[in-house]
Amino acid sequence: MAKGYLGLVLHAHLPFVRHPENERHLEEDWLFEAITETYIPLLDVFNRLDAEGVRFRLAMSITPPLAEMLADPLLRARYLEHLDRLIDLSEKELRRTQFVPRFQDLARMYHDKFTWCRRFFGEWYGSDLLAGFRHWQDRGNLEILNCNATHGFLPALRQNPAAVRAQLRQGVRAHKRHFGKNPNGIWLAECGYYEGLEQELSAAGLGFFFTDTHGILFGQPPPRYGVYSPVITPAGPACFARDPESSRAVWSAETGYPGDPDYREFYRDIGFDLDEDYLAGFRHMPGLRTNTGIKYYRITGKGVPQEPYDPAKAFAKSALHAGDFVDNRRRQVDWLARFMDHPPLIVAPYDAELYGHWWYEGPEFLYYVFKKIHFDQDDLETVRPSDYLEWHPVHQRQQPAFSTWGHLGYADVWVNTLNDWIYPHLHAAADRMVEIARRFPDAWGDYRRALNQMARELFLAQSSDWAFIMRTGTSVEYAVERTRQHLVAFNRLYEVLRDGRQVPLDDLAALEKRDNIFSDVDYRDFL
Amino acid sequence: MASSSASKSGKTPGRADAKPLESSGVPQPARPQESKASVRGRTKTVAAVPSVPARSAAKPKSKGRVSGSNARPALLEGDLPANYGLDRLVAIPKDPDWTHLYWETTPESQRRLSESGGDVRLRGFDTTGVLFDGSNAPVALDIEVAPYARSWYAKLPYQGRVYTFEFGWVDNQGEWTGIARSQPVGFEPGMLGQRVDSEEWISIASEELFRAAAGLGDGEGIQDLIRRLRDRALGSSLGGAAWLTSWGSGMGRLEVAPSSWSPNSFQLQAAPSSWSNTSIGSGVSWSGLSSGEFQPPKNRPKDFWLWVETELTLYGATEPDAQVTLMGRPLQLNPDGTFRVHFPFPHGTELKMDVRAVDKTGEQVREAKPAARRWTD
Repeated sequence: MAKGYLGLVLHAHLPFVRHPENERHLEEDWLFEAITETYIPLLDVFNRLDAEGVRFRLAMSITPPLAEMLADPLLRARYLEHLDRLIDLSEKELRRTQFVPRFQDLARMYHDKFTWCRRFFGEWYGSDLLAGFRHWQDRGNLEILNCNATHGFLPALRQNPAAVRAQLRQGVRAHKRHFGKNPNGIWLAECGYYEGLEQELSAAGLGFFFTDTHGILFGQPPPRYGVYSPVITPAGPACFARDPESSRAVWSAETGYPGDPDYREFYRDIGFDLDEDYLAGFRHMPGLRTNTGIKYYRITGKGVPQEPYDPAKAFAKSALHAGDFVDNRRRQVDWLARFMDHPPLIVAPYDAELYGHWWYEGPEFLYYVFKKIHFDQDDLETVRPSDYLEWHPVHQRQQPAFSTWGHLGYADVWVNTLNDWIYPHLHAAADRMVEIARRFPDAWGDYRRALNQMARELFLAQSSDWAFIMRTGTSVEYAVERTRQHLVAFNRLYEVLRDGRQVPLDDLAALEKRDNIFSDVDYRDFL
Repeated sequence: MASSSASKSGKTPGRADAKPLESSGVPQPARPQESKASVRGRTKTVAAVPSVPARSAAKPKSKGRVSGSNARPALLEGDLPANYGLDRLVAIPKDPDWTHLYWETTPESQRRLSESGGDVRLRGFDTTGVLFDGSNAPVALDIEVAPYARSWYAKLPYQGRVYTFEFGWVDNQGEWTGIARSQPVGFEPGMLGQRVDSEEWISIASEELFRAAAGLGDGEGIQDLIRRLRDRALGSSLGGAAWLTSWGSGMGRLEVAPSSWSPNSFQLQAAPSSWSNTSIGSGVSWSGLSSGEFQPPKNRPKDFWLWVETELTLYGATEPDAQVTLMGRPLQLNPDGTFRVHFPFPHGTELKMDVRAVDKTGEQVREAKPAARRWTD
């Protein structure tokens, strides 16, 4: 039996970026890049591990907006078009680099990768990546975690408890539709937890959740086992907290693996390096440069010119780093087990998109981590959170503390002078939603459609991503405009219903077509 | 612009037939008669949806991107309300020390305020352990706010206490009139507050594991952990969707470019450098927005940065029917006999670009051998 466990958690999330109103839309690229660089490579890693007889277990949250986009026919078709543009571009690159062999090798790597992605996505998976994740769920390797409906930052929405409740209910409902079963546990958006939230989680049927390290460390009473064992909250759901050491190994800017000089440099993309005319077939519109995913340089080092990327060297390095990661986790559980009467659990959560998108070699790193844990040692095993709770059901009762995994550990990222103007509007909208739902608790026909669309618009406006983007300073206009548009649409519909007017059906239909998240939305969640 | 087409189509019923509904659970109204079109909303000419990077030199308008059938629904026209017609005060805890407060007052309350001649205040009551009724808790915090302010960041006096805020005024007799009350904020005793004051442990095992989880060294205590959390030296990141900064509008690189030249080019923490100028958490209370409107703030200036890279263009011309090779590989000539080749030319590259042209008879040969080496001082 293992001395301790590693609970990897990958949080896969993108805001709902679907824009049927335009033929191509910049922000949809976020999804396409994540599919090419993270979601397909992760499924590929799972496939390879299984083919090699490696037992692997992990948890992944696939948030409702991401699942909705991965299931959406329009976005699926557009992803294939996006790949075709990339394949064309990489063919041009093969010609452009023909006299500089080390670049041409890289151009070929990308060309091969894009054509392979096209087969993987279009032919092997029939454009349905969710089926791929469901497969590993049903096989028992992957526990798919729920997330609240549109990744709303719950500590800033709690002013209206119905808003929190509706986020949770809609999240669970969408999860069930996409993954065929009720979720066991939830990844709270941004790990945003406040005292008492567990009651709402329990009511939504969610058995466990995650906080950052200090959620449990600052909980009451003090945790007997640090963050190396879950705690049971007063309302029943279990709480796991992040292990800082395994986090630091990957996340840290100073010491994290992804900063290694051999790894691919994220910031050197031909979409920014090459002539605009050359990129004409790929770019969205003149004057607008975007990432292509074709990147030729490695990180190299400080103050020296960047050198071309060497994939063989980089992938060998990812195996070394995986070995280091596994060794350190073994040492960790070995030391922790001395103080514990049951095997310690190391909870290691990361943004899924870190692996592959940011850290190009990340999926390969995960592949080696699982492989080394399986073949090279017996101290450490990978688990899904539910496995651990099933094998070790008795834990300390504790009230965890308000915490998030954001910068400074609390709400600063989502509540600051760059974005706090959204909350009066979000809160008023939530109050109005409850008010109008109570006025029409059994609406039918047009009113029901309008009420449901109001719920969609409110959910979309509540995405934590908009506040996050306003703070980080990239794409601010988009985030502002998304927040504004969803709230304006919400308020227009509210006024129609409040005043007992006739619903403008053409407009409503246009809105339903455009903001079509959650076919199963039910405004009565706000009752 | 397409955005106005929907409202011109005459489908929007006017307000004339509307009947306000009061009691809950009433049946829906019968459909009102179609009334004359009321053209609602403003027609904007800015294509708001396809976002355009802020720094883009040429700011393209939506160039034929919105087709007729995909016209922007009229329901998206209009602005966010400046007021919701309420007396309201909302507190959002920012961290254990700081709380964000925003408020709104009705014209009626504003009239009462100006009649009273009082000072506008945010008043915090220490409501730890009590069900606050407006008079059964001591005043813990009194913040004078400018009449035009609508939000504030307040520092709570003590951790481990619970505070309830009211927005109101003190008249010249010193009487308090509160017109809106927040929900309680802060932490019940026994939460974070107590942990700071006492370091009691259930057992030695707990302390060892707690220290490990907190990354505490010898001689360090919980205060060090808290300080470190504040500094975020725990090695944590922006968390959340940190990588979104890279996606953004595809402008991520420009925004955080300085980092790409450092060994930490994987900089999940890159963004804070651009935030460090903001006064968040600087320990000073200040009004969030002086405009009195809940609207997005203006863009901030970005950090200065530079990067340089080189490419090389080789070009020339010969007879259109000649055969030309470059480094042994055939070149495609333009119809007028010109040719042009674009090379990547990174640091450390050395190129000997042997060009050889043979005329159509195969008898005459011309050669040129330019060379170039790229280094960086």
